[in-house]
Amino acid sequence: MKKPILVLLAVVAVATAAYFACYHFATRETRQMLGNADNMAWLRMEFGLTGEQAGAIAKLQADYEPRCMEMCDRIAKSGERLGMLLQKSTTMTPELEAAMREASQTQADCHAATLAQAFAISTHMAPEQAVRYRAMIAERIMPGTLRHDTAIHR
Amino acid sequence: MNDDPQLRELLKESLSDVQVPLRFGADVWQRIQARSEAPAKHGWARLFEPLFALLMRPAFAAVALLLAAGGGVAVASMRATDANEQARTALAERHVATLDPYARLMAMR
Repeated sequence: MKKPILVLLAVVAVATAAYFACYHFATRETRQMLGNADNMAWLRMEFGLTGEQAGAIAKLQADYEPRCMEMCDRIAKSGERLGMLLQKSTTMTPELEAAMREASQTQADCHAATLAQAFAISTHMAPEQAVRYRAMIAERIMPGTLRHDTAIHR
Repeated sequence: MNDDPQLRELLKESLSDVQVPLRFGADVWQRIQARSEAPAKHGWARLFEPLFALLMRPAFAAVALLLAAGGGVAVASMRATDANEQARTALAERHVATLDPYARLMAMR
């Protein structure tokens, strides 16, 4: 009676060991990328960038960072102003209308800046990867805008 | 359980050339009696008996181990594919947050 139980335990142990070893090995790369604060590793792998291309994109990203922070600030301020006016208004006022226009303008400016940066980044990619990259960004910042079937990574 | 004269005769005939120990017959009956008085096996033990019998054969045990390894690898591959897909989506979102201020503010919340 003891021997078959030992064999059964060995079967369970082998299955468990195979599962964990395979899972660990198969997810190693993505886990490493997730643990790395620098997202360039993912971009390099996903869009098959060379070292030179990745370096040029990293520089573009570093230059864009202050502009992105500035836009975040603008969004926060316009949102705050709009929220405050919405709370105290009981009718549509010119002030509220102006605040809404400003919020919409801020959103349009942010989308334009994001797309401009995405276009700039895509110039450092191979043509077919650039198309995929631009589609991925457009789909994420303006979902549903691209109706045609592109092989984008979601 | 009583000694069976017919069985004793049969044993004597079939083992005519073999030198059996003096208390052979008594020992055999004792073991039969002990087995018949042993508590009945649990339901689960009876259920797994055929499986245990198979596992006692080295060829089947080896096949079971191979199947276990293959099963483990197959399940891990499926789960790893899902995990990698989720991780790639998260990484794409993270990249978008470096470009899009709205995505960044959402990520910071």
